[in-house]
Amino acid sequence: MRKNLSVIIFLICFFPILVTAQVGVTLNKFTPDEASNYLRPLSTWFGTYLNSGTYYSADVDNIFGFKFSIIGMWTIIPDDQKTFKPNPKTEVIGEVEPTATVFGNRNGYFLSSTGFFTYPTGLSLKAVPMGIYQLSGSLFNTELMVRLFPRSNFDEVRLGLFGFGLKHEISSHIPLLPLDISVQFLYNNFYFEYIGKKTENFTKINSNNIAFNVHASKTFAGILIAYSGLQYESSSTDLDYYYESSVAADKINYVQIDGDNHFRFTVGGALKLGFFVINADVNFTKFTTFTTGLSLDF
Amino acid sequence: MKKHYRHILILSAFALLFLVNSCNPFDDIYLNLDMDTEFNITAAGSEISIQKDFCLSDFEDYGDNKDHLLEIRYISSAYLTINSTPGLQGSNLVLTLYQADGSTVLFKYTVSPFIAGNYKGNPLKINLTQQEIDNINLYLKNPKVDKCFVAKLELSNVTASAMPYQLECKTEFLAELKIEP
Repeated sequence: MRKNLSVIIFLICFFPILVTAQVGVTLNKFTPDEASNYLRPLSTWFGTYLNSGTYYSADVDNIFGFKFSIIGMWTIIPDDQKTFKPNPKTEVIGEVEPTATVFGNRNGYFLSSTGFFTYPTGLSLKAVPMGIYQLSGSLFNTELMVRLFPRSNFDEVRLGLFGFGLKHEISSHIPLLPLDISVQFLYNNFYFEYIGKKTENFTKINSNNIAFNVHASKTFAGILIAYSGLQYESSSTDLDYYYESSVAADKINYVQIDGDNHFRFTVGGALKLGFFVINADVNFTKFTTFTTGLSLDF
Repeated sequence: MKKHYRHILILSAFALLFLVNSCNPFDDIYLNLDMDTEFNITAAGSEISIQKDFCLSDFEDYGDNKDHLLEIRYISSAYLTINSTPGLQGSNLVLTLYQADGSTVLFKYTVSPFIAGNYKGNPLKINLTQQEIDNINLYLKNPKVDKCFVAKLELSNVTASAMPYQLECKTEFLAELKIEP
């Protein structure tokens, strides 16, 4: 099977656990409409992943505060996100069965005028484990969080990640409130581009994700924190890829893929041990996500 | 207190076991493998008989995943004329798939009468009986062991608008590979 090298490299860099998968991801056979349906769950996953793990407390320091966090996530891929009904451009003899999305495990096929056409399969994932790191600084009950992996070239691939969050503790303006309450805005961008010489491997992914949340927390005995939040979020991924079309002008296709991200509810707890904070939460959204974090909090 | 520690220890062991067992993020993979065999005949006689050998290992997807295969299952097959002399036809087209020994029949499919041009850009889906499908699947057991086949095409009472006539065609077999993660 011909593999799309760039996507494989992307997976190796950003999904180290996936290198044990036996099949890769090939976009070249997909029409723009099909590529969009194939990768939509990935766009949704970007929105889920990048908008996770952004808080464990609504309490923001009035004087200078600093945090460094390492966050692990476990995102469950629902079964309905593992297949889609393709819409082939060529003439079909008989029926077209559903085929795998990027996370699916069963590729579809149909009989065309030139014989059997088989779609690529997906990564066969029921869950996606992932991690991220972030730095935060706070002053005057306002916190700036930054995630940064500068755009860098690795062999034939250029990739980078940038994100920021701006948070303000609104309960600081309301005296005698038994809870801490904050609002937070988030923006995250993930960029990937194949920069090698093989035109057929060309892939460019630019994922933009925004979120806005309101969250509250309550600290017990100075060490235990219970927190919860409601978040609105959206994700959009721009994809450029090489398409095996008979028309030369159609070789590089562009599609914009909107993720299925809308609202999420988060509930979790944290344990404060001196400068260290361990937290865990569950995020109820399109892809239920469990996160756990270790933070250095001054 | 000792009792509590024991309970906590047992619970922790169960929790750890649960986590380890439930933390495999991969599903089994089901991959459709398309195996095609082309025939190219130029002849002037009234009978055509041609055969081609092929093995699972001739196909990259099988080779790439051989060590992780759990099962191979027959899905479908088809016949397609790629090119032919105008008016090429015969009374019976017989497509036979044999095991590697060339004598054990896995399936035999007859098209009668056969007009080559009818299947140009319009493949013929080969519908097998359940017994034939079972035969193939039985032969495909032990998927880690490479299997070879003999595909035979026979056409009788051949006529065409010009002699020598030419028939370029292919048969395709689709099988599903079940691959462990």
